[in-house]
Amino acid sequence: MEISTLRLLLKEVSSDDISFIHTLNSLPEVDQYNTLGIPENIEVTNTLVSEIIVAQTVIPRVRYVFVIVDQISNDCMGVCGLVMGKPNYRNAEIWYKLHPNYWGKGFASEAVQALLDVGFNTFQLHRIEAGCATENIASIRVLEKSGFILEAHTRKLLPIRGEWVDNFGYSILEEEFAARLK
Amino acid sequence: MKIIETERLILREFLPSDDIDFFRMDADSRVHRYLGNTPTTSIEQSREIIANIRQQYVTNGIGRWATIEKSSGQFIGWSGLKFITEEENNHVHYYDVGYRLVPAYWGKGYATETCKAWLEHGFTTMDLKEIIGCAHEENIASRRALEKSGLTFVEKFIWKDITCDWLKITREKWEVLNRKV
Repeated sequence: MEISTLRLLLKEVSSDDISFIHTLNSLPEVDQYNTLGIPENIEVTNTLVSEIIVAQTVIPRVRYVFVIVDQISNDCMGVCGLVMGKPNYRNAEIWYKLHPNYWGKGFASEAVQALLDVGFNTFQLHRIEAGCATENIASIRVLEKSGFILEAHTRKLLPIRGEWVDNFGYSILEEEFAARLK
Repeated sequence: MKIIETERLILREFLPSDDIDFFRMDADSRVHRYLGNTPTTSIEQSREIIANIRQQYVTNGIGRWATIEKSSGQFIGWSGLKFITEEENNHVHYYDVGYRLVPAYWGKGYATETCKAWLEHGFTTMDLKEIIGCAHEENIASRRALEKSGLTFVEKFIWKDITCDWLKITREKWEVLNRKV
């Protein structure tokens, strides 16, 4: 699956992306509010990408991970994903992670819009969720700007570098997404 | 006299007798660094401002309040909600949360403490739907106080030739942040 937006191309991850993903996940700024952790070595990233590729063959599809590419330069800017919940719930969770070089320009919001579009219009979902650490002001802004509503302040959910960190749970419903398009 | 008490502060309406403290604060150029660099030059100006604020208490039911540090009994500045009646960033008739503190009391988390208290007052006692907060785009400390209190950046706008950040918090969001689990 490939999705294009005004400035971006979202392409499903392939083994060609191992190097970029490893670099991205190794950055302290990217790791700051993340639970994945900085990979000890390239093998960790190899395993991660293998799992993503295997998930691409599962039927029905549950997990989508995209590399975010700049349409003009073809540079990799980040990754994002969508994970489906139980079929009868018609919900999914989305996430995104950008290289700091591309922060502050609305790219995360643009990627989120693409994921919402796919989720609601292509997958006909009813509800899409996203979360972030409560201190992650930039991500809070992306989600609120994208129409997500804060639902939950979950205490000490996220294991981040040996500490338990609080999480903000956000969601947007199909009718809320539709209303924003008007 | 109505007061609001926080962990370390007492908030109360301004009195004419606050004129000297108010003037000392507003005459300090550091306080005006991100406000257009026009510190007050005479106590008369401060008396007028206090009178104007006290009039807002009557007309709008709310205005900025004096802020006192409990431990020292000292006036440390003002904080609170203001009903904005002149157009700002294409908005009018909205409630703005703000604070202005004497530099000696900066860096102690007082701005955040007052902001949180005023959000609570605004969303519970006053039943407001949303509250706005603004700051000069370079005023990182102020931006941080607003964000720690739950406001989120919406957009930039120009105020008196200065680029400022416009932040907002809705009642909905405040309720989630303050749910007692």
